Amino acid sequence: MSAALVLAVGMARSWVAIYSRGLPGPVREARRDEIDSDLWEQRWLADRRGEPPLATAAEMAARTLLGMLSDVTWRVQAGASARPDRSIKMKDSTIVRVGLVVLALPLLLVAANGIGMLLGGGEFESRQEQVLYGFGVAIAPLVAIAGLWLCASQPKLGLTLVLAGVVSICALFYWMLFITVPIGLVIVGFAFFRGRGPRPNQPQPA
Amino acid sequence: MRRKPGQLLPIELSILDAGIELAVRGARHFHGFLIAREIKEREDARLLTAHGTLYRALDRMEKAGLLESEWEDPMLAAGEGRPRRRLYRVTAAGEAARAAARAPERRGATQRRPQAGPVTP
Repeated sequence: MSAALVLAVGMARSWVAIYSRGLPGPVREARRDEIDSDLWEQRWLADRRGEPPLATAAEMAARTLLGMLSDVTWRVQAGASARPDRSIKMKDSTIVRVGLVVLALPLLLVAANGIGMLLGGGEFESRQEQVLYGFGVAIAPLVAIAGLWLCASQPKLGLTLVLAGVVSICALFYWMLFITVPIGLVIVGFAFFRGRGPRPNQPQPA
Repeated sequence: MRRKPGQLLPIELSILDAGIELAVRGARHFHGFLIAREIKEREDARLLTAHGTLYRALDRMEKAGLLESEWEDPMLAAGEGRPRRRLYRVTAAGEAARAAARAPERRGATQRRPQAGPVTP
């Protein structure tokens, strides 16, 4: 299997592992098995048709990236129906919600930039370089958004994802550190303080 | 925005169209990738349906009773050296929902059809 395919399959599987984390075993396993089967069938058909691995990898990556919003929505709904006794609401104040949206916007812009590269945008020396760079640029901000989302319920995981995403963006756009570092610090700081806030269902002192 | 009860989303209609077409061609069941490929070919799309969009729609449609699913025998999948498939089938309710969704189009087509009559020079 080519490196690009390994990367695309790994990205799809990692993303499933992230968003299905915390769900009941059968629900989680069913989703993982279904995506595994889909990836295998796509690879097998592409092999049989003699399609270039890079094109298959790019399509797999695009399928993963373009479905992320639906995955997150599905995760919230599956989590809510599987755990009716536990609130999944973050009990965020309006300021925190607005902060989340404001910080997610530049990250989404970067992700859109990466998807554009995957679909052929930008100037690169080779298609392989374009796909690899596009992967990074598309996935890093989405990891940071997933971290921002999770940091209230799972602070360690959330903050780790935010850090990983922000550091990756800074590295990928190293010539724009004067912009990426300050924005990155704001995002990490927001995630840190959100993670330290009152936890859902945590008893409050009298 | 909430949709009206019984109203199908475009992806749901595409899944029902493709599933029924596959059944007509003799495939009683379909799995996720097969339906994605069928939709791509039917609609001449550039990309296969995204994983999240497809599997969320399949999940929602199964809960709504438009589809039924079962996991295939793991021994069969192991024998063919591949992961097991989740096999879906369009239910009678799914066929009815699709017919209802397509009815206005069919009525429109009938109304637009030119009336048969004498050909004037």
